[in-house]
Amino acid sequence: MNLSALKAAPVKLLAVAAASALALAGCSNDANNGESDKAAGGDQASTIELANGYCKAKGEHTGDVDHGGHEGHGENTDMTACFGDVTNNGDSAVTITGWTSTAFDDGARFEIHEVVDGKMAAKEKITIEPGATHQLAPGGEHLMVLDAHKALEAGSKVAVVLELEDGSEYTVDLPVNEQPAGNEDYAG
Amino acid sequence: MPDKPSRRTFLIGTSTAALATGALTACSSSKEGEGTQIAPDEAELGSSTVAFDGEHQAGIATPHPSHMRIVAFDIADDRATREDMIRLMNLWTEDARRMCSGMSPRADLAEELSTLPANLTITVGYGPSLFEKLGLAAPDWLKELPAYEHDELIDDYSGGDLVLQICADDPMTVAHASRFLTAAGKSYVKQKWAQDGFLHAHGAIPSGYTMRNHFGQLDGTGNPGLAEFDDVVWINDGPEWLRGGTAMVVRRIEMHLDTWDMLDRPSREAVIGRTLGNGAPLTGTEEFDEPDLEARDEYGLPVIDPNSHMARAKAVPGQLDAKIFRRPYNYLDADSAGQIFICFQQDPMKQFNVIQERLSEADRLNEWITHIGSAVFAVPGGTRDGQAWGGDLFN
Repeated sequence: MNLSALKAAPVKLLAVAAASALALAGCSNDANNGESDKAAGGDQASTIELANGYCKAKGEHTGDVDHGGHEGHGENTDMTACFGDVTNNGDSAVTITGWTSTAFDDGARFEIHEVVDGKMAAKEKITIEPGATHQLAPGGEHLMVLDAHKALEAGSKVAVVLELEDGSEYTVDLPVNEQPAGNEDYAG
Repeated sequence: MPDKPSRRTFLIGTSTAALATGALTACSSSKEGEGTQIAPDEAELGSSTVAFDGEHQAGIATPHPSHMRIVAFDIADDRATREDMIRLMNLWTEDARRMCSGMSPRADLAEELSTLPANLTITVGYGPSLFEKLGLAAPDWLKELPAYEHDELIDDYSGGDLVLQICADDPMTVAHASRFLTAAGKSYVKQKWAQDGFLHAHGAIPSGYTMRNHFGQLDGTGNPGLAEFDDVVWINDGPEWLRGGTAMVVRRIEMHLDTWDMLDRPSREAVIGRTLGNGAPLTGTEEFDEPDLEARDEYGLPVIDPNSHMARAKAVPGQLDAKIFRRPYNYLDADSAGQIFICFQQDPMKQFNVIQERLSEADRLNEWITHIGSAVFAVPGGTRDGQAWGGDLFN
């Protein structure tokens, strides 16, 4: 399915085509957008896919940070976050219980966060029902990095590992992009 | 890869379908408010794409969309390294490839603005100062053009380490792509200048017609056809990154329309050497008729003034012949009108410069134009799927 195929279709068929594309997108395993993902060690990891993912660029952190201030952005912060659309292509629910990445400092901490009433708060896990896509986005749930002092350069790549409830891990290379949004107050 | 099915391309698909279905429903149920409906063919323009990847970058030999913004950047002082340029090219190429195929780039929270490509093309080029700052070997021809007699260049429209030429048939698409890419690269580059240009709206005249400039003149009649691009435009040798590439010259040419308006039509046509109506040479009847520079009128005077714009632009026997491919846009600011002259060639010193020296010397049109900006860029060859702009240049 691509734009030109859609364009060529008669208008009434187009809606049908779009509806079947939904079914297709829901169960397709190859709908990733260039990230080299791989699953290891279990079943849950082989049924999920993180598409359109990226981590937020940041400068080097050199001084103390007021955690009541900002998440992730700016010249001098020790926080950032990763985002994307996680789809469960399997027949049973998948739960993300944590995540990690070797791209950050040794002491960096990795949490799952959500934004509630404009305040960030830690969240234990995210469960994705079969066929569902869960969006990790600025202003919503996201993968949070704390105590990250090194710069994270836009245009570089970060290997991110999602830890799943059954012990399996899903690894994906995410590009680093500028993301000015998401500087919500930090509550946790 | 980006053109495989994805959630976002699916969403674009549904919104296009929904739009078209919505228009259809509205047509059959109500006669009121018909003027506000979106015709299916208009929705189709929004989703039309030009292939991003290929032997050559898009935005040169591809059709000439109605709107353009060309943005020049200087690299930040502490970013003059090859590693930084590789990261910037990774970033920009991926964003551009996605936007040109109708997909929202990563980290774009305004995806409705980036999913109407409308024939979007994004073309990158590297200025001579980039090679100096990085200590890289530049092509011999990659240098600022010589100063021509009538030039009154303004720094705000000249030079630049890098350039992005962004073209589409929807000005909102051009605006968003330009803003997004500028913000995406903000840790590496700062905008040096930007110029906005336009042609007739898409569909207002048949596609493929020669553009008109503010003088009312058809502009680009003598352009080489695509069959000549291998000899005129595309660079076929030298370093790998430049093969399939070209040289881009950007000149901002102010037009003095207040005094031009004082000329009657025959005077305007005499200055140009062509009719305003269909662009025919004054010795012919059709736009593409070969001009007869030897023809005399009943008083023995040349029918085409040898100092007319068209005559000066052509080589006379004994002169070095030179061809360029012109792809200009008109501009209109609050207090200035003119043309963003953009041309592509293999070697600007042997092509644009040869023509411009003749024009600078005696073109009658010089009374009504002033070149106020100038820049030269090396345009790398095209990308294959997944590759970044610049090839092996920064390795």
